[in-house]
Amino acid sequence: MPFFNTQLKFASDIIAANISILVILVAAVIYISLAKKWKMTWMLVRTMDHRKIGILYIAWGFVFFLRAGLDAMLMRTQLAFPDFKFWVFQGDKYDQVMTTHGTLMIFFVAMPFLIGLMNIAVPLQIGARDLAFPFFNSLSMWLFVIGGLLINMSFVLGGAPSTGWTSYVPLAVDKDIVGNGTAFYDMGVQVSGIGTIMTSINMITTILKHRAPGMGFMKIPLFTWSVLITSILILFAFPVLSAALLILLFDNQFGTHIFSGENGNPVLWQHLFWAFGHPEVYIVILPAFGIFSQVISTFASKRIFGYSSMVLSMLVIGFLSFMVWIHHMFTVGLGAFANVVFAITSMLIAVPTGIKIFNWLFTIRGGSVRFTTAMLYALAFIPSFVIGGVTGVMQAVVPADYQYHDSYFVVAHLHYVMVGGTVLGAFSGFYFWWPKMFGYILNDKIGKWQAWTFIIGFHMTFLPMHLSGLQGMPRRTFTYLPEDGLFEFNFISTMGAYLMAVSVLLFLWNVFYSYRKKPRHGVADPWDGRTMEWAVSSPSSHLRWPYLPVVRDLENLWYEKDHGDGTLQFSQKAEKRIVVEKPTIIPLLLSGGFFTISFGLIFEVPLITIAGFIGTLLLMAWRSITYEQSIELYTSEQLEEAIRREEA
Amino acid sequence: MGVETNVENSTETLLEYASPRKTAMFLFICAEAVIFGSLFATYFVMLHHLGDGPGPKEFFKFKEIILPTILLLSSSLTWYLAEKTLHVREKGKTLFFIGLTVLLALGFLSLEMIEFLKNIGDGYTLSRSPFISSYYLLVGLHGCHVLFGILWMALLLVHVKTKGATVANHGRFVSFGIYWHFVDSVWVFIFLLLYGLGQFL
Repeated sequence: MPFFNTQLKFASDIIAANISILVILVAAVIYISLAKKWKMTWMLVRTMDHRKIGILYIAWGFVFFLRAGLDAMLMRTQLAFPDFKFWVFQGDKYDQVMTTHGTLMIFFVAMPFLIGLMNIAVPLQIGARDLAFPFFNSLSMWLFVIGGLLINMSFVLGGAPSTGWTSYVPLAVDKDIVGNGTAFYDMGVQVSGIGTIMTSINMITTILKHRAPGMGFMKIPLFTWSVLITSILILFAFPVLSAALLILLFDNQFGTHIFSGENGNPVLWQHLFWAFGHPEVYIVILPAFGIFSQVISTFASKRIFGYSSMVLSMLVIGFLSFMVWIHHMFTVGLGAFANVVFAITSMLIAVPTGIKIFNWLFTIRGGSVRFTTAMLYALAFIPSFVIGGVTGVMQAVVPADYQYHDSYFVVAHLHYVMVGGTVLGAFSGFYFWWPKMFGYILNDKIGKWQAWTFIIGFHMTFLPMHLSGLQGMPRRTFTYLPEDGLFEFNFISTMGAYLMAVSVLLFLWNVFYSYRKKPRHGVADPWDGRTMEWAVSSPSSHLRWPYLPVVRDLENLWYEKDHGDGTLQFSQKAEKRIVVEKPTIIPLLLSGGFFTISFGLIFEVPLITIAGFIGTLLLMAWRSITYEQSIELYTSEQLEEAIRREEA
Repeated sequence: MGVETNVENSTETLLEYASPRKTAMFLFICAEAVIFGSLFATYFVMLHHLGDGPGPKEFFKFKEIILPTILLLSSSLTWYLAEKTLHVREKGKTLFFIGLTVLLALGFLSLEMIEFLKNIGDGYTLSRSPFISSYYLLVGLHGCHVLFGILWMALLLVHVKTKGATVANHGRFVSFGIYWHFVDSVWVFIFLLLYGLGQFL
């Protein structure tokens, strides 16, 4: 079937995907109609509240998580037996599934999970009423959604990207092989990247400018510190990707040959990609570190051990993350000197990370530990992440890396840090902040089942991959032969992957079950919290703090519980100008504009692109002109009254 | 409820209003600088990837770029004057200086378009060689920023005309000023490192 300069083919898997998309859409429409939630949906897509935007981030992230997880199941099934032929997932299809799995998991699952939690917790932790720019917050979120949808749509619209999440050239720009796939990857990541850069600017400005009175830099809770450092990393790393993707777009769609051809330079793409790509892995791990710091100190009922060294080590990790990217390119042949320098800087990162691990252990030591689900995830994280870190240092040894390179050993390592760090951190954060997000607690018993199945499944999947990698199994291949002796390892990995899938379904069941059963009162401070987010109601209200809270200690709420009456002290200073943004649909429309631009670029229809650009610019102008009407101004007294009215 | 209805226009509110915006704008400029930095790096890597195309000495015509450079750099000065006249609430002068800045930027942009067209006429198209592609990407992206700046200034013109020297407009001016001076300073680097240094390579 012809479709905007391309041909759509209807193979069995595409038809299945089409049908499932239709079924999900119809089911969603029917559910919203039956439950009479159209008005709520309309409110939700226009919201400017940081908590709701955070929830939307996480909800969309979870949708993409299920899709990318399904990809993982397909891959693991294909690899379960030697020389196996599962459905259509061999060769090109396997490559497509593998690429969407990687791209989605990193850009559209790990990032939104963490950014969602940042949205929910950061303003509360620092005593701000919202982020500095709620409008941009909403816009960032919708841009991320559009980017994710673009990557997801590629499967049914003429070919998904198939060159791995790294999208190495010249393969990626060879249209005979990849078709429109690279264009989908390029625009999807580019659009969401713009949103991510805006989020980082928003977060840094919020943390620098909107802290409550009394909160000096060394009184910022560790999660917020990690967000600040992560945001700085995003700010300097993502633009490199934007530039690289811009060049890739030109190589792919406009006939330039910067990365390919006889005169191009494919290694330049690798440099640009990894100059972004390595900070990126710290972007997704540092907030997880922050979450674990909060969770461990809360459930060990102790102040975090070595707060200042925690902050310092995060700063060092952030700094070093920009000078290690060559360790992804040891086998390119950049010379012994470059390899040695980057081997040393890569190994150095283990030092601050080790400091953090020990600080967490010392925090637990002597504390009265409560084994909730969130704490269980945090405790599972420590050994899992140490394994991932150690294999990382092993790969920093250049001669050894020549052996590990491009084998399943690397796959095992990256999943140990990504899943063992980021995903465990995200789950821990979900269980921890769920009351703050929705006003009810997730069931602890189901939660523990979920945590244990996830942790066991995770180790079952990825521990054998170290061994299959050392036996020489190359990554990104869709099968192996019976005489390779890899069957046992792969079979165990596949079983582990299924167990993780069960665990994710258990999580969904837990959300549903707890929503039905749990009482909704007494959840403002269910964990005997230590930082300020536990001093407001659950779920946190949009209008709050007519007078800003005063910060007297790092663990402000705990300090008040210990020294005061257990409630926050408020500033006496009345403010004259409190800006609250009214809900607006413009962010969603703007992201629609970006979608139109991307669509035109991907299918090479200039008219659509131009229409998208004009629409986007007009919307931006419209927002600028109506700015004065789109905000509400309060003084402290007026805000107090507004809150009273809302509660009544 | 407009911005000005219930708040007096004191220096304190002005600072309070402009300060986060300024921070955010500077952070945005950091991101932009990294994008341009990456493209500069690409350009220097591509310096020897000439194919059958011309080298920098042959390609860049230094004399023809002096006039557009003067136009763009003087637009920074006229913008500064626009900002200062808004500060002292001389609306007429502000409008005049914004108009002047727009004209200078348009002059720069049309000269650049003429240069591009001339290049294409000479056979130096976008895909002639990686070196020329990287030139078009870098200078073209800068040109897009100038174009965006012109559209932005048109919008500011509307804002000043309808609302005058309000707090919100001061914030808008501060933000745009940071953007515009940055776009100009990128041009200084392009002028020196591409056109200037190109004469000696």
